[in-house]
Amino acid sequence: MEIYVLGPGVGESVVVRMPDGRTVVVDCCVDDGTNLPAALLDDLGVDHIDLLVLTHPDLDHVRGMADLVRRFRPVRVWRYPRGLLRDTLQVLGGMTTAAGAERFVEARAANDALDELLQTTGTVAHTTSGAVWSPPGAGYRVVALAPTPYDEARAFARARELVERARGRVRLTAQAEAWFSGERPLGDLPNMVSIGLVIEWGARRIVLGGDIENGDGTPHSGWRGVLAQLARPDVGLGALMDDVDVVKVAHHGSTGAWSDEAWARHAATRRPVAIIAPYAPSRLPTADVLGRLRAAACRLGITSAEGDGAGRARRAGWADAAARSVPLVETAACVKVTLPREGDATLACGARAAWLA
Amino acid sequence: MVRPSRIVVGRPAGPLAGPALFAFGHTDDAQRVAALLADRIAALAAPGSDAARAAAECLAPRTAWRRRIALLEGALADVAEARPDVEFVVWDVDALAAVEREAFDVERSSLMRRDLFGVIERVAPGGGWTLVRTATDGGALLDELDVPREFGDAVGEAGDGPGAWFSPDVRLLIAWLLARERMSAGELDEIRHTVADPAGHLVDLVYQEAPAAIQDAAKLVSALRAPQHVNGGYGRLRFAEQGGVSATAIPTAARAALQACGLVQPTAAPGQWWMPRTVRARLAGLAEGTMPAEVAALHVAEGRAATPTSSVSEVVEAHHHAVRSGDLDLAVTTARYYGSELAEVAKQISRDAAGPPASKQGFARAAQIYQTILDRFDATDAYAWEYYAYNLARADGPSDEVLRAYQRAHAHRPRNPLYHGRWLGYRGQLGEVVVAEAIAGIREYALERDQSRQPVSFFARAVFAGLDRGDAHGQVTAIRAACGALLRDLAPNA
Repeated sequence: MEIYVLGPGVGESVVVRMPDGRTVVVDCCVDDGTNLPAALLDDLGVDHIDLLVLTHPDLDHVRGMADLVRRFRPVRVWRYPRGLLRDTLQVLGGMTTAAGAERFVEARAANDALDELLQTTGTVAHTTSGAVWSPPGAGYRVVALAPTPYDEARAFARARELVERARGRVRLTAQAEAWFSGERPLGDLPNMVSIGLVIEWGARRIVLGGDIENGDGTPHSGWRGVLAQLARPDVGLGALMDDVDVVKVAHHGSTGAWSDEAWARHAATRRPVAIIAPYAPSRLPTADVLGRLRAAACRLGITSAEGDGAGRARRAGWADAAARSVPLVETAACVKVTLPREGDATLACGARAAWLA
Repeated sequence: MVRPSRIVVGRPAGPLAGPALFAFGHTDDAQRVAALLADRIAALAAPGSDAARAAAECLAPRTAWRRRIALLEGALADVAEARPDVEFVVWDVDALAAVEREAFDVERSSLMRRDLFGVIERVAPGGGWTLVRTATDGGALLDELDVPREFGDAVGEAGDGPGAWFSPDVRLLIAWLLARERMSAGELDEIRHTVADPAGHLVDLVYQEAPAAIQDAAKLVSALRAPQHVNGGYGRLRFAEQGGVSATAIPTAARAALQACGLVQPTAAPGQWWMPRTVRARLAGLAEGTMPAEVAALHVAEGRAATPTSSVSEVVEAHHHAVRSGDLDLAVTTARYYGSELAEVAKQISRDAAGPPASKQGFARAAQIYQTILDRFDATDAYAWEYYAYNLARADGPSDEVLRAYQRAHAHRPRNPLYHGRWLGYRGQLGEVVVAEAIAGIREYALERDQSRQPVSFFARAVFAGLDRGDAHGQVTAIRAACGALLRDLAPNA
């Protein structure tokens, strides 16, 4: 199994070549005009995607998605639960010209492309925790970790608050205006619906944390909610979080997405390999998370030097480690893990990326 | 022998002995259902009987609401006794019972709905009624009603399964989600226990699963209110084999899909459909925001559908659409049985007139509509008096007329602190000393049990606003000196 994490500093995508030759792609990103997962798939000679996952509608995960969908016609798609987002985007599209509107333009383009696919193939599913894809005879399964039903409903409710009816007309709320003008951060709204995944292949487990955060602190929300959902008797997947081999760290290594409970499970008896796609503008990963990972992970891959995530990692006690190079020019902001069924993983990275130990 | 009344939870299983009268949770519910009940009485009562005369008076546009309600109560009891072969059927009766009190500045329809539900509450135990509960937010009022309960089809469809906890109007949605494996029984249980509005969330889940054309069809239907006998509840919408959603048509496939997933549900009459209140409430705002042209055209088309020979049920729905279209002439033309809904048109005009920039002409036009309501319909309509005065004042209308109108509003609804406050405030603005009355008012409203509605705040702010406009600052100071503690506690923004 080969896991490529692409991240140029703003944007994140994961491409997984499954042991049976199938391909899973999570999210999309663009670097200097190049659609990174598309370029990687071209280099790998892949002509279609078997499972495409659109975790949530943030620009750094959705940019280029429409193009990816149209070029690689995924066999099946897991889309974050969008609720009334199509309508909200329609309303917003006609209302805002703020810089923040690019997020909605891209999200709308991605959703339109997926709607086209839905019309023709019917294989787009809104996915929440507990969804499973397990091709017959493949020997692996992909399980959605999040969102929980509680966070899904929370996100729907928040999306409704973007627009309001006033004086008999529909308009942006003051809060939404502030978001789009950049006066206030959008907060965790898109991340509330973020899908996360775990891939289980024999004894191997790979957690792709999406942008799952810690939610509102209730037991139904964020990572606590995920752990509770998987442990539900009718789901019975609680063990999937234990003794993990590889973790794509959630939300670019933000402190708000770090879960002691989840990491205690991931690293119950052995420390996994951790990978971070930085979000340079917000200086993610944080020094705090990099320090915690020092104790919880055995290796750390950082996909890009943008934002000095690797520098912060070194200051947190990580040291450079040897790794093979990924000979793909367009996807140089990339780390790769090759995972055999048994034995040690092989690490590789592109020119802009780094492995640390 | 009077036919026993019953409360049916879910869709009644057998045929009904009368047409179902739908409540929608809209502002016109009370007037509309009252008119439909009167129409039914007129059809059933012996010619020349007291009930027949009462029905005719109920349907006369100038009959005051209070009078209408009183007439209705007596006539309903008479007909139930005289005609045990028929019944009065109210569908989604919880929409009448589950009334959140409106804020004092928009208090209009909730009181009327309470009045109408009060009539049903008193006459239904005597027999002749089927009250259909499709939602269960009517709560205690319906639970306490002395009428036997039975369970209908939609409840049976959920059986004892995971959907049994939910109200009937979302059980079809649940069944669809479970059948499509979009949701497991365990997730449904999780939703029930962790989500703030489980029923609304289930609507969202079904809606998000639908392709765009079906979503658009659902939104358009959420804006539509047509009598059940007109095109099965789909009004003037055509069902097109090809093409997308327009103001006049939805794809045939979309209709089938809406009905399959439960966003549109069967009534008790074969071939007739309705969109449950839970669904409608969720989608109507989206329809206005995302397809305003189609929704506006739909309202105009339905508003124009009433003809001189149209039935009462056709006219009341046409009137609703005419009001929503904002076309004042059309709204007035279709106001054959009541005029209170014209306030919705006036309200919009008044809000637009508030600007910026403010428009005295706009306020004058709004005042004129309220005057029409009072002159041609119900001269006891407190809301119309209040906003006739309010708009007339902002249009620089004659002060004695403004004062008279504020006084009438207060007289017809003396317990509304805003109306009371504006009346006092306007008197103060004109130079009258109202300090003692204002202090008494603040102390009186401070004793109200329901302080969540902020009666002191509504009252005091209105008084102070008037006094400020009249530069009567000494009066404001005197009132504040006398009631400082109460104002700090109960009206910090006054």
